[in-house]
Amino acid sequence: MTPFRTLGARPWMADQVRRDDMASGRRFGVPAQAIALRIFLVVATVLFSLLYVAYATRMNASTLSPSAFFCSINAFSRASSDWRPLQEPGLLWFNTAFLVFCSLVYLGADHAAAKKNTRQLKNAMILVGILSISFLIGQLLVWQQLNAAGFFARANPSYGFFYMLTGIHGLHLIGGLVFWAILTVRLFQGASPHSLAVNIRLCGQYWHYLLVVWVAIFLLLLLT
Amino acid sequence: MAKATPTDIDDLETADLPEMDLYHPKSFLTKWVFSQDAKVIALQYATTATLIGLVALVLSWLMRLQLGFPDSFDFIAPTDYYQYITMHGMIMVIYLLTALFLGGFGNYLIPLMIGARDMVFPYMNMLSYWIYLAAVLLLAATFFVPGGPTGAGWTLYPPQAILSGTPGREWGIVLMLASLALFIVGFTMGGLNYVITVLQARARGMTLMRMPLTIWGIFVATILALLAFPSLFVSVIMLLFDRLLNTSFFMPHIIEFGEKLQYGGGSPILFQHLFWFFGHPEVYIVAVPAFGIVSDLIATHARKNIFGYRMMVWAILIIGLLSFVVWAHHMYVSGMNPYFGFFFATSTLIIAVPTAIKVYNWVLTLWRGNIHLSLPMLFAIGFIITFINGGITGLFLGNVIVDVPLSDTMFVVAHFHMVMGVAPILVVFGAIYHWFPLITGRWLNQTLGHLHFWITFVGAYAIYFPMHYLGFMGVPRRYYSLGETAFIPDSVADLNKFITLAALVVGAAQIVFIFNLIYSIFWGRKAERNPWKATTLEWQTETMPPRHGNFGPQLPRVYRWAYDYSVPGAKDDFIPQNQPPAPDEEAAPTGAPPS
Amino acid sequence: MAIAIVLILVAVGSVAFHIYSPWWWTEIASNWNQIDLTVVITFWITGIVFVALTLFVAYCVVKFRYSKNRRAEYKPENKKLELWLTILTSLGVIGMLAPGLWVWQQYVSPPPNADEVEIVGQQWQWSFRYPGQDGILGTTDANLVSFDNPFGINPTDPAGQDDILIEGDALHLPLGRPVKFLLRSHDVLHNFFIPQFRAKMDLVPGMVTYFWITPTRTGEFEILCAELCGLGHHQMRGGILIEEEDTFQTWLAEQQTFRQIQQDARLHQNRPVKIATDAPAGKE
Repeated sequence: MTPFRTLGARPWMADQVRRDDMASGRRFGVPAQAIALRIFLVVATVLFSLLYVAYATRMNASTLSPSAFFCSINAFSRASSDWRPLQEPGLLWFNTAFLVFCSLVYLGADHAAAKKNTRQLKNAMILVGILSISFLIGQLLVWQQLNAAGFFARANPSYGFFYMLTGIHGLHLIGGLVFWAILTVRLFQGASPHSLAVNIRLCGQYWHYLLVVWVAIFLLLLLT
Repeated sequence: MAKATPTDIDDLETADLPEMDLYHPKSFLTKWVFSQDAKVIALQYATTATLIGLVALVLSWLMRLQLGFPDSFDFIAPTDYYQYITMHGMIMVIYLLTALFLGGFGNYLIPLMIGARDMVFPYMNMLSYWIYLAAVLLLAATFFVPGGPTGAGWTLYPPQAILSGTPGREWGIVLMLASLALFIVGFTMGGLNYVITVLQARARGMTLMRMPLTIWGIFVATILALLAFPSLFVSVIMLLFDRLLNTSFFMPHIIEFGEKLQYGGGSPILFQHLFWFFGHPEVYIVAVPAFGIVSDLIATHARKNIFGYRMMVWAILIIGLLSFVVWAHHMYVSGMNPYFGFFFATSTLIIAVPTAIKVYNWVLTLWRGNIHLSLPMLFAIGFIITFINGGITGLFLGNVIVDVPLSDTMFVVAHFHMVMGVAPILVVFGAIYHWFPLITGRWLNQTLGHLHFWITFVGAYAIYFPMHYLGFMGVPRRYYSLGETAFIPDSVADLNKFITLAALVVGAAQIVFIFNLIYSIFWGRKAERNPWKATTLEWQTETMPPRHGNFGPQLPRVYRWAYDYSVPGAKDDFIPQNQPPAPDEEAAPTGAPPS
Repeated sequence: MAIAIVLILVAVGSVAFHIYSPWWWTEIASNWNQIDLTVVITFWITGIVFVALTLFVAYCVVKFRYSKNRRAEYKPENKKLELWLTILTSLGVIGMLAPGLWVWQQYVSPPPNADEVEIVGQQWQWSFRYPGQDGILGTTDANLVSFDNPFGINPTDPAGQDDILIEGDALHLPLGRPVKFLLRSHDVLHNFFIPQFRAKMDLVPGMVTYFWITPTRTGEFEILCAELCGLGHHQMRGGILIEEEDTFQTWLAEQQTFRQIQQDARLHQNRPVKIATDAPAGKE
């Protein structure tokens, strides 16, 4: 089943015909939504990687650093960098903690779904919602704090990137909350934990992914 | 959920959806408006794309009028002209071609050709269309806002795109960026669907290498789009920040008409890298489905298997892969690090090899075929010629030093119109003439069809072939008027007039085509089942047009590849994919001995 | 059958158009004959492929037209043929790419003795700066641009004092001496393009870009902007004059240096200092 063997097949040859006639048509033995999530995570990873690249390029754009090479080998007429590091508000640590808890709660939710413990599952899902919304409110508070301190997006490209990165990350979380809401409503309408188990696990994987992305963003902000 | 291991994959149930899982429309509203049936969504996509495409067609007329007869039309000021070119380009590339190939043909053909009842996620499929519609409406709205649509050129290069020397700086650019962001969100939903449907919902026996090339083309193009659109998304959002929040991502220190602006330190070239990292794959997002569809048109109408099927699949994959490492060939004279030229010229010219192989294989499929000169075949031949022409001018522009005198001239305009305008559009027409009987159960009027083909093919060639020579001369593109320019002789004005007249005629032929479409839906001659005697599954449905759920109570089972045309010893010159092997067929290989 | 005739007409007609049409490149005025040569090489290789394939399709359409009594050949693939076609195509590609890269290497490597001239673009006009006696262009900064200092030259840089500034006049260049253009923009992207030189490059605000040429014949040429730069894009023209060495030197000696312009400005100190110039109208 290696890709090369698959692509090397001669579908018109008799022996290959016999082999092909056996095929079910499905390529992977996992549910469609699991593949959907993985493909989406690849797309999201491309998106966040490009934001990373843009961040790095812009950071070095006005210096003579070699990483400016994407843009030009010539010196800029103004050699000094206009990039000023971001002053990270302490609140971001709290927000990070919210997301970490979310991921932990999802692990518990998987467990509860496997044990068909409806009560525990309901609690876990509610907790996920509360923590996620707390994270979003926390991020909004950070925006407000920065703004109040006179650092809106235009203050410096580093602040511009901060608003953009947190904004796009937050939108992804809101998107996840839509699926969370559908699952939670179904759960409270009496759907069995077993029937929701796969989707809850996938939801959890999405939250883990968003945690990883957030940590990557946070580290980038802290280190530069 | 038990996780299946690779060994017991073959024991899984077939890709059949249980009847109760299938979405059932109950009212007119859910059947034709908020439909979750991929076939209806496909038609919605196609209709919307065509309507906005007609707007772009009219814009091209207006542009050509200005170029052919400068100073004759008072209502076309420079502002208007630059708005026309921008909207024409953006609509044609993104809102027409991308949406039509993937949203239109993808939605209609994927489930039918792989033997599935519908897309895997029908609800998301519906959402995808409605978000696309919202994006189109937002785009159309820019014509009516104060200041009109943006005139930044479809590449939207900053700083110019968001400064006051460019029309539509107030509203136009903002709505354009918002519309693009929406389009990307909507497309991602649809794109996930197409990929997963191809991976997970194929009928029993439909291995990847038994899929028709149409599906390969749409499949690979969708993957390209899923990976490329994030880049456009990033550049769009960053540009929106620069415009609305005055950040300086792309904006350096700028003195605009003597006034110092509040920007500083940004890099306009960064935008170009991001834009073209999307923009080049975008070319293949349009071209690769066309490659796939045209392969099937040629095979069916030449009654011959596509020559070198495996090579065709590999070529599509290699082209898709390479399309991500050639982007900066759009930027040879942009001021980026000039040493990039060596790498990008090499990677670009390497792409020519798999592309050329595809062309050879189309042509070699005709060799010793049994060619029906039906309308789809005529359009396919038209495509081959235009694509060869546009492809070889790509070798001029991809080769960094040859690009230097030619970039930003009319040569570029002629090149990309030939290769990603006319060529894919000819495939679209061929495909419509091919599948119209399936979709509606009726024939398009053949006389009008021939009229449409001849005017479009010959006319488009007459428009774009001479245009290359204006580029050699050095006539720049995106000029409202050439004015009194010493090196440009008066004969250029005559050539421009000729091109304009040809463009008007070709445009009018499209109106004839639209008329033919509408007329034939209601009054066209009734078509019999599988009128082209094609092998692929979409023609093997119980009814034509296929009803909701595509196939009868039983999903088809596939016994052969998509190209069993003119098999030696067979009764007919085609064997449908779902026809079980004849008793004596088991002994002899279906195919000729291996070469 | 009509399609075969049309295909033959397309192939023959395209070649005839190429040979007989009056639209072709302008007479070259720089050292970049090699660029023209690479274009010609590409023309030959791709032209042969285009004509051959088009005629082949025309032949197939005639020869293998549908007949009830005939079956198409069943031949899924032919490895040998495909391999040969791949090799031939690769050779063709190498034949175009190798000379192309060789010429590009020269294009991006200005000779060390090239004269430097700065080209400044802004919506929608061109201005020029020569390095003056010392042969060095003074440093600049976009923040220093003002009515009295339209180039943004650093007034404390001694190298900038003797820079010769040209506004509203053509760019003059001596015949036969290599010149490296340093390109700078104050506002948006522009592109410095003279068709007779075959060379061009974008002007990018915030950056200095470059390319080089050696003028090979005297005469007057036009500078076009080849990168969309807003409403006046098509009107952003400039003149360029290639002269014999002594004519050029005479002309250059008559031009004002940065120092002289600054002194003139100081004489008019009683005039209120204006930061901004009026919006320049595009040159008609």
